Amino acid sequence: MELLNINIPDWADLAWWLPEAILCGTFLVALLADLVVRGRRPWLPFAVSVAGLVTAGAYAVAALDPGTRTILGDLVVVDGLAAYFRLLFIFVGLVTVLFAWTAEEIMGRTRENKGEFFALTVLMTAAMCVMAEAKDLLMLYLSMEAVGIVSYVMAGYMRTSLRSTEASLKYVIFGAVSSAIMLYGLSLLYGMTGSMQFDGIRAGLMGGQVDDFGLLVAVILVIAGMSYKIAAVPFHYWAPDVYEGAPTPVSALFSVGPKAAGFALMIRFFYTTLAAGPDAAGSAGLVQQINWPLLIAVMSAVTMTYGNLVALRQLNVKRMLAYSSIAHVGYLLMGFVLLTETGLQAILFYLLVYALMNLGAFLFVVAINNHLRSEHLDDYVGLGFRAPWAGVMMVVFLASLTGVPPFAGFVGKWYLFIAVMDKQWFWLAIIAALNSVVSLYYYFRVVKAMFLTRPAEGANLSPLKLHWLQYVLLAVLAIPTLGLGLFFGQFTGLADRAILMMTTGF
Amino acid sequence: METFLFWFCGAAMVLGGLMTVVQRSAVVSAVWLIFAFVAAAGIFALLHAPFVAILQVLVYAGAIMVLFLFVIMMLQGPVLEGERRRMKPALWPAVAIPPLAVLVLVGTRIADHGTAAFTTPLPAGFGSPTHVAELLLGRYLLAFELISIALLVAIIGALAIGKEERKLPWK
Repeated sequence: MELLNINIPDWADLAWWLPEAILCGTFLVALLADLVVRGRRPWLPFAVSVAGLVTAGAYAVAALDPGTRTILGDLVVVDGLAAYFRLLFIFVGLVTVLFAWTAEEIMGRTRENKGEFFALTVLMTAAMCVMAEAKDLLMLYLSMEAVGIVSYVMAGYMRTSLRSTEASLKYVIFGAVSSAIMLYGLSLLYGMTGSMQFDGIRAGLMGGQVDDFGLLVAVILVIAGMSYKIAAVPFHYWAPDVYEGAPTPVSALFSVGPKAAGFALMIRFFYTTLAAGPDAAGSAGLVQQINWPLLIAVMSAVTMTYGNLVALRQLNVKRMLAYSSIAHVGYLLMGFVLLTETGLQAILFYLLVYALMNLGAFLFVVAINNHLRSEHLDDYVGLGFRAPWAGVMMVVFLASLTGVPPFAGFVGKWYLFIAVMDKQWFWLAIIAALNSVVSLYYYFRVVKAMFLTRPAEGANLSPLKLHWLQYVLLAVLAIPTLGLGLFFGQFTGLADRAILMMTTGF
Repeated sequence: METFLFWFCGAAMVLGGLMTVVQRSAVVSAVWLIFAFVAAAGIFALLHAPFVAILQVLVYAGAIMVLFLFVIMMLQGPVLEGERRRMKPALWPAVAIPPLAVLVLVGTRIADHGTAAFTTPLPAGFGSPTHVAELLLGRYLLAFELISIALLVAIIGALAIGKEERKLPWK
């Protein structure tokens, strides 16, 4: 009888994977803590989650320059890209947890499962980190599903609300369909190249013998599955309903976290398998054969135009932000058109900026919702005077989302524009510029309601007192949104290095 | 023979899948799902993965479906009632065309060039229980752990959303 020949991965590898390991551990401890206090003292799982996220964040900062390490059975790779994204995800997770603590939708007196919410956010952070690190089809799929399952639960978190339950159900069904589509594409790729590893797939594709048409079908199917995660047209249908129905802190997390994770995954997967690399001989041909640039450029243009045009008509601020996040996916895809390093660097930087400004805008909605129980634009009239500090910070976020010069959003867009204009894709840049102008209208309609519209007679004009933590967090997000617009060198440098490490560390 | 078996199992699986979706009684749906699972096991067997095929029957068609049926019966087997609403005929092409197009395109390609374009030769010992065990407990250990965490989350989520009944808006 032959013996099993098992190669257990080297446990020393875990040293490079500490942030993820800590987050997974925090998830379990937070759950147990919640069990021990029987859900009556939500501060305990909250404190555990914050402590875990901060510790993991500290390790992630320490490991910002890890070199390129393929660890744990060649399933994940820790390199500059992974280090960049896990820092981003841990930041987003921490902001979400802290803000959820102050949100009535999560912590209100009648709410249940408060402890689980924090634990799940921590786990989602870990799963998103894995998405950015996967270098094997199996890990790619599993990490996407892990993020997906957590999202389904969190979307339906307010289980006594019909809207929230509907959001969850829609998310589950669309998620399942898109997973099936993506798996079909992945299985075609596996069949063509005989490898589950990204670089193995690349080697298989470079080796010739690959049917162009089969490759085209496979790539389109995979893109379709992934565009669902990032909510690009035509796979965006779930996004507005889910963002509107889910509790607002969850929408904030969804609009930034899984989206950035989807981009991280797409960057690693498509760059590794298709782009021109050191072994450039056949690769430029591959991208040409399937006409990758045109495919993504059209998707990008349609996504941003659709998102912006529909956002124009929204009177619910949360739903408007949902459509605006679709439009931003369109801008981000611009960096993806040419699969060049400039483009990918622009995506990384824009994702950071987008995370700051979009989280900020959503969290303002959370803070206001605590008091007004409404997200309707009509109820925002006069808010600029009822909550002046928060109002001004909201203006910063909205102006940055529009891409007005002194703010970070402008610099981020600038890099994306350069990436496409570098290679003479002027029509795409023009469409994007026109789109930015359109977006000015609906973002500033909120500003107008808050500051310029005269409140109706007898309207409640008493000042709103926000939670101190909300002021702190809004400031933490608003200051870099302003500052990155002026001093961006440091952070674009970080993005550049992250991409450089991925591209040279094949 | 192999080709015939493939088409047979494939057709059975598609039929099973369709019937699962269109049935109005949850129990009947579940039984059709078993049918689809068994057909999938047949396809695994054809793909030189006998061990996975057996697991598919044992675990999915067997254990998991029994659980499914128990749960459905515990919830007293809901049968959809009320008016039968059909999809607007105008929507049929939108639903049917994309999958059919992929099917026809890939199919004609395979008919022209053979399956070589979509396949690579199998390594020796592929799909044996030994091979599966080596991969599952060795190289793919991390993936294995990730699955267990994902399933844990699913259980916790199901509990959090579906536990004891409070006042729900639609009751």
